[in-house]
Amino acid sequence: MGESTPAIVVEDLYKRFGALEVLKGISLRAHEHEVISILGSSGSGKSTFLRCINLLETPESGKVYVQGELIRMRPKRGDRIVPEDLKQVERIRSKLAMVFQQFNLWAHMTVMENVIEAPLRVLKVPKAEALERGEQMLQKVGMYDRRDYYPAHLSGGQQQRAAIARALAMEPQVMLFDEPTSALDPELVGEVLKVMRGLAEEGRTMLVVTHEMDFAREVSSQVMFMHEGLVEEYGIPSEVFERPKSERFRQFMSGLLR
Amino acid sequence: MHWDVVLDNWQLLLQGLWTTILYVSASLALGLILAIPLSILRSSSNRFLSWPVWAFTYFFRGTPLLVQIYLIYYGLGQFESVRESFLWPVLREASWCALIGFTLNTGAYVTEILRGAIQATPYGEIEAATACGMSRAQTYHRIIMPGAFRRALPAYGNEVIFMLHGSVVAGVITILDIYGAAKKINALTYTYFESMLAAAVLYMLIVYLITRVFKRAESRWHAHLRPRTE
Repeated sequence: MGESTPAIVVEDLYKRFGALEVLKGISLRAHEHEVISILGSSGSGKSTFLRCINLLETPESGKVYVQGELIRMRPKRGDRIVPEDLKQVERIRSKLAMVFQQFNLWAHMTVMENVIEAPLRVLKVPKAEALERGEQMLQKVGMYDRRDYYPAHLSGGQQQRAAIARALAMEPQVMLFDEPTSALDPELVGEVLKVMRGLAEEGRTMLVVTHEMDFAREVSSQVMFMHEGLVEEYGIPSEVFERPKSERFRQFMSGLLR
Repeated sequence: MHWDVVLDNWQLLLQGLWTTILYVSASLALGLILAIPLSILRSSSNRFLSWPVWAFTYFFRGTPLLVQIYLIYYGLGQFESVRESFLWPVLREASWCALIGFTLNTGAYVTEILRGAIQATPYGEIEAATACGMSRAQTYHRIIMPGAFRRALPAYGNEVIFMLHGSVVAGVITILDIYGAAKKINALTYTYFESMLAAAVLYMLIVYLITRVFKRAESRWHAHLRPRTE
């Protein structure tokens, strides 16, 4: 079997907030079934990088390919770029489900309504099918018995599992996790990580911005360490964690162990 | 006390009650329809879209309803160009002037109520909609506006009551609403206290019904805000 098309290719991404350069040329290649953990201290640009992939942030320059399809951008007013075709961006976003640090469930909808909303409206799945798929996904994350609850009536861990079910219901090609456990009480982190481990075992393609070192070490196929907008370290977890080449990553690790 | 004058003129009061309900509900409905697009424009970051709406709401919230109705009903008729235009058959009628004035007035208030509710949308909810591929229009339709309507409900309930009380202005420009009916009874019988108290009771009755409706609406649409009960 030949090399298949990578799920995500990012080439030379630059991003600036005002005078602050957040990303200074980041590239990444994620093949199908890969789990890539993106590590870094706060301010390293790791969340911004993830958010540039589905264009929640617009980079200054760089290319993003999803399953070989380039997100077309055009220059606008000097050094900025904007999407050439919003319809293309929306279609590509629907293949890249995102899970947020703050869950971002829709407060006026029940768990089940949250889960079926985008399949119904974006993918135009028939309602019966969307409900059936929603039930499966909620069972998978252990939230089926809470399907009629509103988000405000759930714990953080439950909300995050519901948000993961919402992402799964889109049957995404790639899942983007933006610090999914950082807003959770310590005792609730485990239940979310357990669901994520299950997804990794299913062979889902995942990009995970995280501070969970055990997850990065045990679950990911690649680890990427970012520092001040640059990739400092990249490789398979055993290599990266056992024999880090970068002094910064060593400092980062020892800082965590402190 | 001459309560018999109230009883003798019950048909007049009933007609006034019906007229008030008709004007208030029609202008509330039209005002809401007007306010939905205006509130979206008003909350836009594009100044060319938000500024004209701001000017509109500033005028209608910044001046008394009575003055607005006088401007429309008596003021516009002063201009020959208006009297000769196709609009004159509408603008010479007190009923149309009241309906237009009420609609623009409540439309302005509701625009600002909704604008506040739209701008209070948690940004994460919009990002989640964007991230799963919803278009801007879908995000407004499914996420922003449904949330905004729910947040706006208590303030909107107040606006409905204010609009009801503001509608006495119809009685001032010859329309036979509740206040108009009471005024007429008083003119026939010189019983200010009895006729105005009869009007007051009818207004209170409507307010009672309005608060009941909004209580039910809140229990239905604010389920997601209630404390958890199990």
